Amino acid sequence: MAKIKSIKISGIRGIKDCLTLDLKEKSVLIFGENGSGKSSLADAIEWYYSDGIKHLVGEETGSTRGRGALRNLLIPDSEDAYIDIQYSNNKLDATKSVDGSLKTSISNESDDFQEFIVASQSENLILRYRDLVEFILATKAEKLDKLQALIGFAEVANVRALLKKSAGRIVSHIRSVNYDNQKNAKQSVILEYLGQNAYTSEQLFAGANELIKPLKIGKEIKSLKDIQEVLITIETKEDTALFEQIIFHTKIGESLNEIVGNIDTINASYKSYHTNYTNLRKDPGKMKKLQLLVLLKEGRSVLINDVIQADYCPLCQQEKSKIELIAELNERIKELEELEQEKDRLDEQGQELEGVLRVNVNTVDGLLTEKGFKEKENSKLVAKVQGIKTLLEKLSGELKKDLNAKAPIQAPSKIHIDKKGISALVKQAQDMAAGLTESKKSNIQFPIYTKLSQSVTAYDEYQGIERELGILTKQKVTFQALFADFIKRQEEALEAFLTMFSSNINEYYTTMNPNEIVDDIKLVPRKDTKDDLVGITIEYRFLDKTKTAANAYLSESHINCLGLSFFLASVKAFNKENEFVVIDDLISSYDRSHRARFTKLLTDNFSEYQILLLTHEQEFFELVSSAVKGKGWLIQEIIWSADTGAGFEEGIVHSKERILKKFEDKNLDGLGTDIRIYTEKVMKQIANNIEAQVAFRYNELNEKRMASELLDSVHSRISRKGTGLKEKADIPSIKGMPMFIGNIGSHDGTFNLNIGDLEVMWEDISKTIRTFYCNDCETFISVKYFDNVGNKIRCRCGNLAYDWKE
Amino acid sequence: MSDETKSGREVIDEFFANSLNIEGVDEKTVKKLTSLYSERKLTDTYIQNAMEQLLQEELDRTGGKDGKD
Repeated sequence: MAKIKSIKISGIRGIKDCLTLDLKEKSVLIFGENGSGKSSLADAIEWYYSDGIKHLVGEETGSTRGRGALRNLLIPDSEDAYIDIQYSNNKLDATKSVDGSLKTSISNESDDFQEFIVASQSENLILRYRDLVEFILATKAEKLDKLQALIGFAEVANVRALLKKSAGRIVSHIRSVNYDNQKNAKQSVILEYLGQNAYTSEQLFAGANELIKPLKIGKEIKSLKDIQEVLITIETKEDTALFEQIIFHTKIGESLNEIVGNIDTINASYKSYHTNYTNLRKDPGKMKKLQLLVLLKEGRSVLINDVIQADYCPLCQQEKSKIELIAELNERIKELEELEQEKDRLDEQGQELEGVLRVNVNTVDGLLTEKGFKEKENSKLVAKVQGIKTLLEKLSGELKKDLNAKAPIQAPSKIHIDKKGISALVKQAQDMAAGLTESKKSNIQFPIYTKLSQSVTAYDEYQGIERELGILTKQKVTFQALFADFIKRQEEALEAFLTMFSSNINEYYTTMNPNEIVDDIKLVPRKDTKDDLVGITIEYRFLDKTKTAANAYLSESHINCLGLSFFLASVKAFNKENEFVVIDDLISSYDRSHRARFTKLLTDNFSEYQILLLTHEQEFFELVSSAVKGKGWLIQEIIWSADTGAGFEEGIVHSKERILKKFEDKNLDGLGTDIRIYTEKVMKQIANNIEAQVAFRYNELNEKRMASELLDSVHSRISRKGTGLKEKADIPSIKGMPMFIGNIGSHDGTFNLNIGDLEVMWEDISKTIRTFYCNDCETFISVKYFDNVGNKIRCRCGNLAYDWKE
Repeated sequence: MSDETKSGREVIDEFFANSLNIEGVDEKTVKKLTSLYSERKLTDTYIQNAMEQLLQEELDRTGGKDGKD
């Protein structure tokens, strides 16, 4: 797994000039006031990994996925904005840039890097406050989607849906085509001409032998080939026209008979559809409310994505807890989704009937291509058959009508398919075919030829239908069996994952909330009435009773703890490529005890991870600073200036390390400036601790206070308040050093000093600083630790103390 | 994910590896699906086309819907 060695960012969000974070694979605590640009760091990392910034997408539309808002506004178009990340595995080092035309590029084109970035997509790397409660307050279906996406189960859900859809499609096709009805129609023709049904070839041959008996041709039919030979033998060419007429009427009888077989189903389905349609239309307001679903979902997304940051309703502008607002929206969304499901069921019913109607329209269309319909004498028949088609299409049209349409769909009594009328046409066609068959009684061969020929054709078609149905049934059974097996596998795997995941969430939550009334937190899969997996809910024990609605019983702080536990459990479960996480300013809503336990959870349970912890809260900063002391964390402060944008205020410890390294390397380059900056930082801290007065300045100028000014004020303060301290600190001895002479404009000036001079100066400065600093507790003396009894100013542990006048 | 749990990919791979052993399945249908999965073509359209093609092949092999034995 990769840790970060260093990050360089330039021209992204609030960072204008290059900002370098030299992490050396260590965790870092970064403090920055609101607006200092610390979240720019999280934004840059998010863009680097995901090519977009989720919370910026709302600021602009289109395909740039937040890139327009990504570039710092003050950098020229000719300059690239970029983030460069160096990892513990240097094969992954890369610089990602976005130029003035918002075109992005990445320096590392290796397969290793591509695979790393793709695999990182499913990892949880950044947690912001706005993401904290997103999962907790999501609906059960959204929870399922999010979790499945996280654990790579989105693909599993997809395969499951495909298997189910495929099985459903075959079932629906078999039902729509109504193969049994088609088979019956063929058997009806066979019965008509052969005088008996023929489901098997033996039955066909037996009937055929019976039929040809009067011909006395001395041949027994034992195969289909025999039938063909008999037909050739008895065929009379001069009766072709008559034969075609018989085929024509037989076809009419057969096709319309198929339709008759479907009429009861069509009429009943339409009646049921009409009832459900009418029920849904009974309360017009209810259906109109459905149109609000999109709006409510969008509203929830606005709240969850923190577009509105304060606790108020963005529509009515009234004060309201955001969590309560989201919970209320979820309730209304749930209610409307149930209504939407009812509508979906109606749509499904309509689609199924539509499929049946389409099959019957196709049957009529096939029939209308018959040559016989072009004959004038059949014009009335054509009109009747066309009438059937028109009615079927009208029914289809009714199914397409909207639920909110002004006029409702036609009542079943008004659009009823007349089964009797079509049955009469069937009878008429069958009678016509039978009459024509018997019209040439003098020619004994003709009716036998016609009957045998029509029987064998119908039998072939019957067999074809049976084969098709057999193959489709095999496919149906296969998909159903595959689906059943797949569900079992998916559920077992999900269950195993949820058990492990729930255990981690519970552990983290109870670590942050020990001895409380909430425990045994579990993620539980939920199924609908059809046994389909439809969501995941969070279950927990509250006062020994099982509860599911997080927002109903938990405070905001507890809900946030739950969100944080989910994130941390996700990090452990899914982060396999990156061994770092960015936690961006999320603890505003936690009270002091939660903050302390959260810090302990991070340092104890996630010590193997590199943590980039960003905060704007001084108190939390101090709490974590103290907790991570001696644990190898870096501590930095981010400040913002109009000239350079966000930048790091180097920590005191880090500055000192750099100075010592330069002495060791005999590197004079910028050493005098380093010593001045270090002294300024320390003096600022000392001045603050002993309440030395400096002239008022605005914040941005406060950062530029010079060492000489600070040295003066500290000296003045200890002269008035301390007794032995003034002599021991001996500030005048360092005040005259070259790096402390000058004005604000000479801050970056150079000093022509040799290494020996600097070593002497450094020793004097260190001696002065040591006067104020306790090595035992690693704190400066402070009025915070003032000893009222002994009238002494002390360090935290009390080992360093000086007399101090009240 | 931890070693005890299976990734989504593992669940699907194992399913297809064992799909022919599932009771009552048609070998040809399963082989078509497995082949689509290994070719990364397991989508609704590909499945639908594959099943229609299989139906046609089977009908042709056994004499067709309207064919002769």
